[in-house]
Amino acid sequence: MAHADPELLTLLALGEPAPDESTEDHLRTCTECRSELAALREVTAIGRETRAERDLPMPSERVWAGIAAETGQSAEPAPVIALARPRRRWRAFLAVAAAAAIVGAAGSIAVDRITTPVTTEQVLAKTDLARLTAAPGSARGTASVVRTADRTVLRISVDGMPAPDGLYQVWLFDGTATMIPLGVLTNGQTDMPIPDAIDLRTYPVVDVSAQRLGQQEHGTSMLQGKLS
Amino acid sequence: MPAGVTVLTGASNTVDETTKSFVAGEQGALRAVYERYAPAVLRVASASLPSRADAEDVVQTTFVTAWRSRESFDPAKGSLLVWLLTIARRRSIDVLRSRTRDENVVKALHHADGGAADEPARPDQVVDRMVVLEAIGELPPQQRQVLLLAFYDDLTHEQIATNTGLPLGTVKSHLRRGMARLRQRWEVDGGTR
Repeated sequence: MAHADPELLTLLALGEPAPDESTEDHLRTCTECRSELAALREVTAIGRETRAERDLPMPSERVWAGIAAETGQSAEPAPVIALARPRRRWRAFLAVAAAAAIVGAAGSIAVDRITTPVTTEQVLAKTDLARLTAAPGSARGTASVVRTADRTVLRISVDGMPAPDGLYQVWLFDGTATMIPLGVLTNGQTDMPIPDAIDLRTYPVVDVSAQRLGQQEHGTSMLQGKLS
Repeated sequence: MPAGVTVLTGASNTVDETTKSFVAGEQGALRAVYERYAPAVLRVASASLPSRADAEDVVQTTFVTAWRSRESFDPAKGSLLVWLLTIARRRSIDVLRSRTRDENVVKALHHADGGAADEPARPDQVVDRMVVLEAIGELPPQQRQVLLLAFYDDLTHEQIATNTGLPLGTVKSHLRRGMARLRQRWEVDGGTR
């Protein structure tokens, strides 16, 4: 029998069941396919473990200051320039965190914005906003969906962000392709009305991006979190 | 100063511009490398050292050592990430050895090793994770997304297709290619240790 198809081995390594008995028979007898599968399983295991490593903190400021002093570098971290310049790789490294947050559009939020009786304010969903790699180590934020007497808002508050070159914009993201701009973020806490037409089960990811003035498309993600 | 900024724009398949400018000792390159890898270096140091202060000291020594010996870095033998993590692991072991003369710290380490509810990862496992995490970050976005749905959300390829709207064949091919890429990076960088 021919060796198992590489796509099939990948699926098996990911834990999907074998499609038929002949595949299982082949794997029992073929050392080559078995060791291939074992290697892919190992990669899968490590890949799954990376989930716990997505939001690693930067060391405290004193570490860079020490390095700069010992090597004669400028101690200035230049956070404002950092906003404007492309940092694709470093973003990519931990932007995995962002990619991970996009999953599960399948709807883990049981938000009923219509039938819930409201007396004062009610928090329907919330999330901490994780710092993405374009943001400085001090950046953090929270977002919650709050139902007030007459409307539903996204209440967002951020802290430790550098002064933007342009502005910060808040988006709701479906995790795959569509981002809905909600509003411009100013300091501290801001309430942004969520239009009734937007189903948060479809757009569960809150994203804060740095935008150049006049930039229409989504800019550089700084903070992100998935409402639940 | 402009040199330090421009080197950050590129990202090639082989040795990227930041790594090159680091080896060349260009201005701004150390900071760029620090921003990219300091979290991973700290993570690896913390895997062996229970004290955050000790781990941060190792981060500092690692980057200073790396900068001073940057000409000895050979991209053919492994990535800059793994080179840094290897320095960090050695430094962590040195710190541990100096500390083991101290009875209390031996206890602390024993405690850190002992079977707590969620067992801490060994340093070499953490290195593997960092290598794979970086490789995931370098995948084409759609491939990465599909793979992470499988890894983190434990979705089958059929569920991924439903969730993303991608054809089944595309999902399977993304999974295979993404996984092959991670495996390649892991095997290459695993071999340097």
